[in-house]
Amino acid sequence: MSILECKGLKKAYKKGKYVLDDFNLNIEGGKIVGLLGPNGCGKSTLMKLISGLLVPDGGEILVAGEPVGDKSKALVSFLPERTYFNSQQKISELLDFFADFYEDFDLERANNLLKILDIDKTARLKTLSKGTKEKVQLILVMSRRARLYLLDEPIAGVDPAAREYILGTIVDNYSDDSTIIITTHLISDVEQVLDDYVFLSGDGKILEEGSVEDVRDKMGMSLDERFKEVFRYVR
Amino acid sequence: MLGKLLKYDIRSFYKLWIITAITSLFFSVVGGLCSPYALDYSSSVDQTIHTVTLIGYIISTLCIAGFFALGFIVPYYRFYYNYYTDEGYLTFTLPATKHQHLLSKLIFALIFNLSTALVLALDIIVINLLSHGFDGFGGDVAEFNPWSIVYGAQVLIIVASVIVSGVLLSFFLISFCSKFSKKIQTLIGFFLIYGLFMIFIILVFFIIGIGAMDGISWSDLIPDGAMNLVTALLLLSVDGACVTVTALLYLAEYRMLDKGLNLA
Amino acid sequence: MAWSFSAGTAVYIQIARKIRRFVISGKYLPGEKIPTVRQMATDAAVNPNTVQRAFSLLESEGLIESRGTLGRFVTSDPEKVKRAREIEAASIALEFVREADELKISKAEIIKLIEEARNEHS
Repeated sequence: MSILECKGLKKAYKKGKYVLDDFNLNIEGGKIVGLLGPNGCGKSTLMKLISGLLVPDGGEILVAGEPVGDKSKALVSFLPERTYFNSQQKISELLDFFADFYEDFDLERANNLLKILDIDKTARLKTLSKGTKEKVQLILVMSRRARLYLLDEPIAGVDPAAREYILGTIVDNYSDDSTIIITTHLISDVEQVLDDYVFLSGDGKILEEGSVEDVRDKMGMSLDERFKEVFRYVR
Repeated sequence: MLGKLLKYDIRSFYKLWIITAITSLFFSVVGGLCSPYALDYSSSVDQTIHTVTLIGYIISTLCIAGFFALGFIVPYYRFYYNYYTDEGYLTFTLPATKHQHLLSKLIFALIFNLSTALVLALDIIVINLLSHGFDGFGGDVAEFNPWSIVYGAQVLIIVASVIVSGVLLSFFLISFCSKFSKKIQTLIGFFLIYGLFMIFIILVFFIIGIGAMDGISWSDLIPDGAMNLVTALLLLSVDGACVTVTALLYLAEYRMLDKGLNLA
Repeated sequence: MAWSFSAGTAVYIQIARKIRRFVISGKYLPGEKIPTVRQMATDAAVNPNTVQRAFSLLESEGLIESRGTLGRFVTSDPEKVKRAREIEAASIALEFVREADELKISKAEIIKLIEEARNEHS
């Protein structure tokens, strides 16, 4: 049963400039998928469309068979690139908020993760550093037992130790009927975590997709090397 | 979901509101006590007392105005913050429909705007009581006219519709101005137009407050004999128009929200 | 501590190799229970399906045994461990010979180089 289906998806920011153009994608459950491509190729846009933040100009999106709406939002856990809190709140208040709105929120797991990362629950968000805020946001997103996780650059501005920890947490969220989609520029760090990959071309369509193991087996290179080959800049 | 959204909206503000409401009442007492001396420019009052009470009266008025501003502005600020800043990433991904979001913000704004207006009316009554003494309330008890119930109900519908429309219009203007994505533009824009509208709403309550004390009763507002079927039908159509406008504004704002997050 | 992998070979093969070495070196003792797919995947920051593939490979070699809900265990059969050593040794040798070939080093030279390296190492 596919967790995510995009059919003929279209989205333009400016007239005539389609970031996603007749875009079709089908992803099954139990996969960790890398959504990759150069800047501005529509990775973040796609995630925002799936999570309901943006509305498409054409086509449709189905999450576990549900069109984008309040039902699909209960199945999707989205980690955007920016932090989205009201900084007056305490972390504990935010935890209660999530537990209240999302049935699939695992409060115990969130508390454990916070303890492991040595983050004080009673602290107000505005007192935290940028890196810590990002970790809190990641914990909130990953503590949901969602069907579809959308992680937009989860390890971008993060130190190597935290990066490792975050990748481990992502793997830990793996289950047979949930799927994790990750966008990243740090392909060499992330590729060992991925099952499949999707390369987005700059003009709104899928350039290439497949399994990461195949790239190694059949093309004899890492995903990072393949990316560089496909998206090479010619001097 | 609607209940939950509303719960968090109210929780975010009610404590601050109660504190400012009580503060405003306190200052209306202060202002009321000060006003006979503060506003008496004749020589029968000692100059120092006059100056002190004048300052007291001004401060009281400012505090009450501050309370009023808070109670009217915060719900709209929160609306703007929840949808048109980075917090929108959290709000728009909650498992709630746009109708639930909009209704929650609408009810939240109504609760606090109306409560603020009531407390404000109370403040005005207190000031008047303390400055003019207890002159006695209300006018003669009106003769019971069955039409006055109908009339009263119609007026209520019209007033309610106007108030709800005011809130929705403010939301709509916030949503509309946010497209221009300049924070200052948005705030100035909505303050201006919104401010004009709210002044109108305040006048309604102000009149009630004054009216209650000067003894204007409902029956005075209805000319004798004029209350009949024709007038009732006329009022009904006005009702209809008002409610239609309210519904249209609701739909317009719903469409705005349905367009999704406004990303620069 | 996350594991890192070289570009040329499939990841599951590299994981299988690592586990083989753990067994050979005694880090995983014969008959000892090894981590579950999930535990290993989380610690190594690797996709669980890849770890699963590595385990399957090692199971087919007989180096580890699956005992259903009890988990996976290193074989207590010393023959299997010996065989694993042979596989690893053979792959090291193959890699070395490949590289030596690229540098056009002769067989006699290879043997001399190994003896010198051995002396230096001890």
